[in-house]
Amino acid sequence: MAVRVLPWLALSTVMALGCEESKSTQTESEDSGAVGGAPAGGSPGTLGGNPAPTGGDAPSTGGESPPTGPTWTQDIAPIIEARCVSCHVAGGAGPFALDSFEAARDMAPTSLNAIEGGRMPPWQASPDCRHYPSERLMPDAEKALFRAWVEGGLSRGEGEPVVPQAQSLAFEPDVVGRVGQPYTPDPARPDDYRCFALDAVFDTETWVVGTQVVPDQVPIVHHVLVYVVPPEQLGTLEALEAEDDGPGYTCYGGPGVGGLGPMAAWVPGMQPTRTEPGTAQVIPAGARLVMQLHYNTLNSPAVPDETELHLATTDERPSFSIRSRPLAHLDIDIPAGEAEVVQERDFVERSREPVTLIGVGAHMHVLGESIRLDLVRANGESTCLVDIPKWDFNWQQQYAFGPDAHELVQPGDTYRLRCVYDNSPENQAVVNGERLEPRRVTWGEGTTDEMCLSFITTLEPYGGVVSTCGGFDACRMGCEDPNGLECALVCGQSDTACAQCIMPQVFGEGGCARSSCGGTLAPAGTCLRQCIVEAVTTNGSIVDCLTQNCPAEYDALSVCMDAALASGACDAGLSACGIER
Amino acid sequence: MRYRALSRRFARTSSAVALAAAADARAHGPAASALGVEHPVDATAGVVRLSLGLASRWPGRETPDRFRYLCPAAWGADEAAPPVAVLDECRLIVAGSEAVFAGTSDGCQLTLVEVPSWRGQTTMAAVSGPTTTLVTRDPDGSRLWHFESDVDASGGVALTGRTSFPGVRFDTAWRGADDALRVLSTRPSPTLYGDTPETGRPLPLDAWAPQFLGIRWHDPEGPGHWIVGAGVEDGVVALETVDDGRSFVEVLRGETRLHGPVAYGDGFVALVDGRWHSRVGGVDGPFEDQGERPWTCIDAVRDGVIVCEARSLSRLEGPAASPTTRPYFALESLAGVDTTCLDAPALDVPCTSQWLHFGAESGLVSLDAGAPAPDTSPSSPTPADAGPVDDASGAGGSLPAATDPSPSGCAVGPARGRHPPLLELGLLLAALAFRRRGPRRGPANR
Repeated sequence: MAVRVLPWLALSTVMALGCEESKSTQTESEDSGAVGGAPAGGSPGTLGGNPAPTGGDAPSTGGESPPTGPTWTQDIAPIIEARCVSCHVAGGAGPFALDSFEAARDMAPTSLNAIEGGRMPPWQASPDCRHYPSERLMPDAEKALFRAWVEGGLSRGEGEPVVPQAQSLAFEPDVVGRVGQPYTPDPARPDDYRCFALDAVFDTETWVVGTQVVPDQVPIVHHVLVYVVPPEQLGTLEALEAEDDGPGYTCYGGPGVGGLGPMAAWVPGMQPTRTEPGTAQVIPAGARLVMQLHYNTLNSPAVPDETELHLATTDERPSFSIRSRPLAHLDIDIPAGEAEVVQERDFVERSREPVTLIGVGAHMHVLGESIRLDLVRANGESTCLVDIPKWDFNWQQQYAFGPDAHELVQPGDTYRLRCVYDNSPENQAVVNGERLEPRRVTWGEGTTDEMCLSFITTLEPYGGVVSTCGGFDACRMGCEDPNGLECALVCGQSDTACAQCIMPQVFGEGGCARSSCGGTLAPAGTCLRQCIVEAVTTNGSIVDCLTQNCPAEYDALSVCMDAALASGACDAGLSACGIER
Repeated sequence: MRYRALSRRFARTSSAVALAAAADARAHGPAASALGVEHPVDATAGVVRLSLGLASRWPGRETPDRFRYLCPAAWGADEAAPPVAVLDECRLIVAGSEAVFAGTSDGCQLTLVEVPSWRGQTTMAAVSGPTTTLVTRDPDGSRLWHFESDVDASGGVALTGRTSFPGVRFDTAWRGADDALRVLSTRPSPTLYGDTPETGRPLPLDAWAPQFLGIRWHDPEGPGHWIVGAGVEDGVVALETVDDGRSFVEVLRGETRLHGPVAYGDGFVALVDGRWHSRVGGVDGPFEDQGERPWTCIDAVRDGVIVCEARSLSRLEGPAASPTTRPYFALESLAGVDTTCLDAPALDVPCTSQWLHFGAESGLVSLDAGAPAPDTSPSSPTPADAGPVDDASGAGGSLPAATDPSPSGCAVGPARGRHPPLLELGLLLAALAFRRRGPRRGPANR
């Protein structure tokens, strides 16, 4: 039995750690009010039965008396600048611009509709669960102000007219990752999901303190995720690239390769991210980065794109490294045709020390309706970590708690992951214009598969440069049988990246367990798979899990695998993880 | 409940902003596209399912190359494109998740149909016809809901029957050549039902262990010959029966994608994982692989076969092995939304908002300062086109009386007023400069 381990480990999202916004407002040209006005005599629209402003080019102040309600100049322009124009500018990701009084006035009813409906600004996480520093929610007071502006006549106001400017956080990259050649999305596939290996080279371990995805062709780039590929997986990456023509390769649920998941992400409106002081994401020496892009070319020409990844790095040794762990409910089973399928699983934190949780992420595919992650303390007290009541695959987002809201997770605490799916005929994925009939859906990376996945991001004391499985040999010296299976399992868990490497190499497709001990692997397969998942996701012990849950099967497997390891049957796989006998 | 009453309720709840929520959230999502066509359709009429909303061409109202956009807000729920049953060329029933609506096929005059206990139902199939049947599931089982039109001689649509099937999970349904309803379930076991639970007859499908069954084609001449698509453990198969489900033959197998088979000419055609397959003659011959095609659906309609591409639908012509296509619908033939005929002012903003989103996603609409004034209405109806304001109140579920019959027999729905739509929509649209872009990709014509 092959053990499915690797692909889901590749999926997580990056944490947006602190996001300071810089604003600027510039003076509007005096003649800007004359553009594209309403026809003379145009009957104004109304909302709520209130008088509407006069259309046309003149400032909508009513002319005779100064406005008494909110005005563009005083009240609305700052809101638009803070909340909207990072996308709603000419050439931006938004379907229309809001960067002038006239544009905002003309779209005001639609904007109000979107604001009050909770669709804009885009932010999927429920504020009833918790708040995040990077959230783009519009406060109720601003919503009320906007409504009052619309109902009060869309007044321009007195004084200096203003033009909202897109905010941009200053970001000087130390490393730039590029594809190396432009990629033109396939116009025959208006939803083109493509992965590219970036050309950035990391000769030494690199400490990343900031990330910025720089989309090139904003109208067609819908979302971007960037993953770290450790050195031992570069062969897999190269094989994936070789299978496809042109730069990159087709991918959907994930890149099919990679470490613990995206170190950077981008959706429209996202600002560069910075880690908290003293912390860094660690890119191992020899690693590469792979970037997944979703291109949507139906409403814009398929033009060559050269989206880049910018990294800010530091030479200052971090006190803490930022690590991600997946919480993956691999056993999801979604019957065909069902409209509300609830899948829930608990993950017990089995680390020996308290864990500092700094953020979470979530991932489902397009059948997903909602996803929620709670932290349930040993005393039964529950804390919501993230709740996305209306999941949207296209707005995947990271949820960092901020330095004042870290959660200290105690050993024995439980993460409760709940995913709800709609597999009815009307909710089937539409990719490239094609919708299929419902089928039973289980875990997988394809467009017709699903995931129920969260990622927890933690701070770990930084212990210096460590290669993948760098602690394996030292650990092995302490084993009763340094060449036995138990030793390989225990020491393979010395770090998460090592476990990620060893488990597929030994137990996966083509692994030595399958070729040497297929007869004993099969009976232990389900138990082994569950224990690997539990161990990787909760810092628990694989050996303890196997001993508790399937002792007979584990004993039989151990006998065979001890011999296989001793004979050198697994050397090639272990060598791929940097372990030499 | 009259639609006007419904609209008043919407108006009280913040201008119906919630109605458009899910639909608009799909902006920035997958590419806007045409997903298929509702039966029946002929050369001049039809309802097209879009990735957000519907498109309708109504005889006598739209010119032959233009469709109007039907926004999801008009049926009061958030489905992108809910199941639709076509009563006839002029009227349709929309099965929303919160309510059932009936109305004219131009999307105007949608009326809430009183359907007790509808909430919580998932519609699996909408069977068109003079008696329309909606097939639903809920956590307890499945139900059939029968609707008839003109039951009180008012032209309205009303629920006339409901049957429960406890513990059964319906998948698909159709009305056969003998006018009998056939409903298929896969759980708890593959079964063919009629109108009542007692009619259930097991289907011999153990060899395939289907997870879901979807009707693909049924013989309009004889009730016993039909083809279903079945999701199975390792892919999808087409299963054909000529004895009304007493035996099946697997005729096609794919990895993930199977559209059809449907009858075409003197044979059958299908798409299997993007490859065109055809079978000439009756039921015995094999399907032959004819190579890749760009199509994403096959729909059998009254007088032919429609195939989809992302932006367009086309009719098949020529031999089954290598057919050509004739354009039927393209996103570029969408003329926009006409909120004036909705007779529900509260829907102006959400409906127009949805059109803006769909239009922007599909490249049909852009906001260009200084561009010419917009043409926001289908075929630019003039005041003379619009019928009188419909102020008649009716009993629950009544469809407004027909007004101003068109040359083809469909009544033209009333407009809210006699103002041209541009003025009626006011500030929201008046200052918008809609520019209809030229099609980047022409309609399918290969």
